[in-house]
Amino acid sequence: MRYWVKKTAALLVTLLVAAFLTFLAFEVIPSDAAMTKLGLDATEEEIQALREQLGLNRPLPLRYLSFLADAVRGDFGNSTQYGRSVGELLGGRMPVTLGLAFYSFFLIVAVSLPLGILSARKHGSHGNGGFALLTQLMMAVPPFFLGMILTLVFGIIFKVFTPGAYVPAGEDFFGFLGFMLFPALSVAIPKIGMTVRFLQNSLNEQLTADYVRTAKSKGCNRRRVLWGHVLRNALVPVVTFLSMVMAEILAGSIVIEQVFNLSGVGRLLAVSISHRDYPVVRAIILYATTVVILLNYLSDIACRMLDPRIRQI
Amino acid sequence: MEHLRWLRKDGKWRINFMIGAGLFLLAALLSVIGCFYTPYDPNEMNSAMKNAAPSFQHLFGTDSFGRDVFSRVLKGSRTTFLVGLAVVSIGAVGGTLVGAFTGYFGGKLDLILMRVNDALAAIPSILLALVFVGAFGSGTLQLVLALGLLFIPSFARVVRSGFLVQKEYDYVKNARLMGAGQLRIMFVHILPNTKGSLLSALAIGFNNAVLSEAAMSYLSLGVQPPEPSLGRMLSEAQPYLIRAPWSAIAPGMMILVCVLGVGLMSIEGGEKHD
Repeated sequence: MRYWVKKTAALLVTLLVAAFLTFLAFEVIPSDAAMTKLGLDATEEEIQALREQLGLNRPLPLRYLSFLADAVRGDFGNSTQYGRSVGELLGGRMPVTLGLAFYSFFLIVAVSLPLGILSARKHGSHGNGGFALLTQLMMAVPPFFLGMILTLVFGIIFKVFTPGAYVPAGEDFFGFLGFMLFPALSVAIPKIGMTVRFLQNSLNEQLTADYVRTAKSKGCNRRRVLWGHVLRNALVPVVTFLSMVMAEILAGSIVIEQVFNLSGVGRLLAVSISHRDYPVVRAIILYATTVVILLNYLSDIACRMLDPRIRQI
Repeated sequence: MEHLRWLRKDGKWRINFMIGAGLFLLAALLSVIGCFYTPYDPNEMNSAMKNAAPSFQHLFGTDSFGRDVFSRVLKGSRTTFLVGLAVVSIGAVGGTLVGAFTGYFGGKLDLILMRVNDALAAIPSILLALVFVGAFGSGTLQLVLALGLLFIPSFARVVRSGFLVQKEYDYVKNARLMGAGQLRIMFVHILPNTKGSLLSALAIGFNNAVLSEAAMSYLSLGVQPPEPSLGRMLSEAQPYLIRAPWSAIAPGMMILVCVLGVGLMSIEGGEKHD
């Protein structure tokens, strides 16, 4: 019980620190909201008046608190580029990004767990052989290049899907799955290579442990050793690894959304950065760091469920 | 001679290492050539030769502006690799300093810096690079600085864990007894012994840097035109994927060859020093 309390307290503190850093980062940017709004011709008095009105003259801690209060209510101000509220803008984009993220995560887990287990059973030097070559090849492909190759082969030559014609999940769920398979594969394939390699190392490390020798000498067969003893132990670091992969999927979708012309949060971020639309950038950064921190929290909890010995915070 | 013998292991050639070395040498050779010579001016447009297919005049064809793709790949890989090297150098030097001091001295500084390290490592580097570029504008210099700073934590972690192990060994105590200064012990005695893990960190770091640079330039937030970069070429080629697929495939393959080469060498190269 104490573990949960401590862990959740640490989560809250981390979230506050991350929010403060995000807030601070956009305070030091050499740009003034009042000046951007009024343009270069504004007089000093006009700028001062607007600064006062926008609350930019208040001390830093006060501004941080009001930023936090607004963020909790989902109020991130208005986009300077689209003139709409940032919350509304993000809400419209979120389903695409989340759909892509979960789809790719599903592919990664569904492919790399069986592959990793299969390859670990053929114990040997991991640097050699065609399998290592294959996983290394998967890791070496830039995801956006992979996306283009998939578009070229399956979209243009074989016409399996229409490039750029996104199907919303609400309208036609199977159409959505069919279209999103290719973006999801572009995100997933490099990560599958990494996860397989990681799982393989983790399993091989466990397979040389003393308890495996004991189990074998007691007459356990290979299969039982692997499924009954080794897998659970080997999965602990993999869960942590997968939570990092999930965070990287979200980051990777920035580029993939651009390749497949999907209007998701990542694309919005890239566009907003080029247009210096800071309210949007700030909201997305805050959202992304929150997701990453929550993922770490969840993976810590999952690890503890797999291995109750983990007690440190 | 000893190095050559290492290429055989248990009577088998280390084929993956040799494939990797071959691919890396190919990529390195092409980008070195790109520093001195390109068959055409990489930025010269030729409206009579738009989207021309590969031929003997234009080995990789031409792009939508009629520019020679082969020349652009040579020049672009030079940019991409230089950015990669610069990023890894900043990350490695910074990370070695941070890792060496925190690992060797420990204490409060270590505790604080490692917490910061963990926090930074949890956030994907491309996201932080985007934030940095968002705050300070896009361009090659900003990109190198942003990625370089972001690569410091991963090197710091590797060097620190090496130092934690090494500082307990007798040779360190010996050196201390003989009156060697702290800095001398750290950088002359201990650092060379962390070579193995540092080398594989360098290889992985270089690959990540090349991939990140390509991704950022693809999003038009990295290297700015007219300077050709491989990522930028891919984003320019994308609208013409149907008519001129070669102008996307050539730069993409160049990145792939380099990253795969370094990656394959690093798996077994790391083993060598362990």
